[in-house]
Amino acid sequence: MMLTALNDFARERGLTDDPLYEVKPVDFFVRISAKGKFVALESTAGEDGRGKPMPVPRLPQRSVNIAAGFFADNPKYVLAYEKEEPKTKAGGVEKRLARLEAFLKSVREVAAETKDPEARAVEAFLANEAERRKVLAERDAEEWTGSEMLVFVVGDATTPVHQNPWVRACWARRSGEQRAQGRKALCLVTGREGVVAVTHPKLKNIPEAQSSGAALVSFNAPAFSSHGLEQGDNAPISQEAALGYVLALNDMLRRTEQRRFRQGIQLADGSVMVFWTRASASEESLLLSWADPTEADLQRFAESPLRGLEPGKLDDRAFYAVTLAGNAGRVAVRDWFESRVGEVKQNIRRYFEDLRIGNAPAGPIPVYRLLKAVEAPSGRGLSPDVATRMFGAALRGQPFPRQLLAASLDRLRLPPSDERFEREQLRLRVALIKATLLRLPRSGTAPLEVTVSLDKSNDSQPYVLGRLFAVLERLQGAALKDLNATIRDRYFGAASRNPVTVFPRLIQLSVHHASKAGENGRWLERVKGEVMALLPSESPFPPVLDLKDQGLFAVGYYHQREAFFTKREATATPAEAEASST
Amino acid sequence: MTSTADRRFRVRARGPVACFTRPEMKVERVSYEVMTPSAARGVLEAILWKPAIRWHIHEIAVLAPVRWTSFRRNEVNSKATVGKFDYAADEDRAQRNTVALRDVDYVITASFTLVPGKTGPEDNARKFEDMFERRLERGQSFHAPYLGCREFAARVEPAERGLLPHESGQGRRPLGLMFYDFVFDVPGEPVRPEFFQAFLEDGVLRVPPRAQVLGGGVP
Repeated sequence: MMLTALNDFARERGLTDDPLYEVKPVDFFVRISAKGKFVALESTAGEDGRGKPMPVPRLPQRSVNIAAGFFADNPKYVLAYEKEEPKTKAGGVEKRLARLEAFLKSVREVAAETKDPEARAVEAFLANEAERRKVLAERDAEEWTGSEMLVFVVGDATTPVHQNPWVRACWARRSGEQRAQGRKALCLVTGREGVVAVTHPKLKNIPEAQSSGAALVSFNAPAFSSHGLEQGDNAPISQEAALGYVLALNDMLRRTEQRRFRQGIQLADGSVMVFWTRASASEESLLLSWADPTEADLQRFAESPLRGLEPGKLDDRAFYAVTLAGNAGRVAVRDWFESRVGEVKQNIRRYFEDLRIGNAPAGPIPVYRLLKAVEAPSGRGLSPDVATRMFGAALRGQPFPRQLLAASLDRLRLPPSDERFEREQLRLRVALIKATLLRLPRSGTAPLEVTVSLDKSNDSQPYVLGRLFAVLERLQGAALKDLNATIRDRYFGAASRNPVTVFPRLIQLSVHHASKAGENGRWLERVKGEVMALLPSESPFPPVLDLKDQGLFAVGYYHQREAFFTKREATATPAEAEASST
Repeated sequence: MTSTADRRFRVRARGPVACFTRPEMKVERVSYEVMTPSAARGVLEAILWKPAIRWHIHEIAVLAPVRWTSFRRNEVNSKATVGKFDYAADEDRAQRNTVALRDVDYVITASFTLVPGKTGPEDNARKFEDMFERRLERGQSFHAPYLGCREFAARVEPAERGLLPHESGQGRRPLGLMFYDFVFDVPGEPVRPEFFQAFLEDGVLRVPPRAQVLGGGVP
């Protein structure tokens, strides 16, 4: 279904309208006279220094083989250019000459076939080594890279030779003939009969894949094929459909000025999630800006929260998402998701609701920032697919991987490494804990109540203990001001795991702190009393908290701490402002 | 003696992981959403198969919601070769990703026919029907039944009445072209795969008869 959906996308957006041509930036026009003499090398580079995009006959797939383009290619083929000193091949023919010969062959055939004067001029030019050298001499040797795209223009013409109707007709016929040589079968993607693609075109810009491109459908070792079938016959897909799905994916994976992937979200280092809808392009970009906001998007959201995600008339359209990861020469599908636009909007909205915590403005947090906040500084610790699984869960409205809860708690137990980002990091970690807790898979039991900000009526023991810890930390801060290691740095982990071993001591300590802290201390003592009143009197401190309760502890701690900050911002007395600076 | 058994067996097959690999994504495996007919045939053949019988799958009911999981494993690039013993897997490895199904639960409705020319004088459909029933009740099998890949073992038992598909009452949903089976038995022709348009109707995949798929496929 995935390839079918991609192929449909390519057709609907008109990507396959011209399967014989592809739009590529052309760097130079090689202007020649009608006799095939070199006239000028005209750069088409615009202000950005890049060539002008225009349709050129689709280039063949190349790796180490020699396969020439049709009337348009790079200087290696057009001019027999070679950066290094030419090496003699075992066959006796230099590789650079073999390339030129391959390019010249099709030109010669077209010239003979059509008797077109422009094609003949190109033939004459290519056959003449002195003229070819003149082109190379137009630029410094260092300037040539070997990958410039060159096309020909003859005389005073403004359109290149490959656009000439005779040449175009020739290209169409040659491509048709070549294609008809393949084996016919029922196409897995379209359900119609077609000529099977033996190998598929490659996907570009997939993380961790070869930079020259990697194939999604390929069978490159004996273990991958069945019943003696070879290459594309293992999965009969017509050439049109193979081109269609690749064009669709390449279009979505294209790099743009704002984004690394035009319509994709980078998940962790190794994978990218692309998505598309059967709705409109604007709907897609809206969903994209929610899931992976840029700075400009964040500003817009601050002004108009949730607008645009209201139910719309396109909500019934199909929504598809696929997570791809590179594996050297191959591309692997990590996750595949199919739904309706409306459902996805609902799930994305819930995802952000679940993540909202404290008084911070509601707004999307990019996934990579969330995961960075819970990752160990070494970058290790989270399994590589955790981002994929988390985002998949967000789109489906399912529980988050439990690993995230453990990872964020681990990070909270360690003293902060960098004070500058501390508050933001803490918020992200606790937000993730909160969302994970809210989505814990439950069977029958009442849903866990975790609120956005301080909930004074919540008397669940871990939550209250978390609050108490924040009060104690505050008391210490008010009493002792500058400290190298606060009780949070020393005791947070122990307090959240085994409260009974730590809390009695901390309470004792806090009495001393309170007496030192003066006016502020008396107020904090009152808060402490209020919080402790919520604990059961017979065993206020349980010996052990499990992972879920440790999460609640962290949320309680964060809520209480944020409440102190808000208090200061609202009624900032000088003493309090000073006390809170620790 | 009849050549066709009209008895329909209902077999429940479930397991924690299943992967009914799509042919186009065979290297980095991605499963179909629903068990394929050939995988269902494999489950039944694990319980009873003789050269004299051929299984036909009629329906596959999906009892559990479709859930996905993915993992990576180190696998090898070569196929096993008879008589080759000095093989070092470490030197022939490929890391491959699998997108598989979690917690699947199916009820397979199937029957079998006798293959003309393969039946012995004392073979009849009744005999094989009873054999199958007995083996299914006792949990006997020729090899461990599995869900798409050998490593994903299936729990197989007779299906009780009143099991409802997960999507019952939700109408018809296209699943796209699905692998039907390999065509093994055309003399002189290589083995070739066959596909059919699959739909989930109220949570049930109705499998067209073999003759229809072969007729509608490649001429």
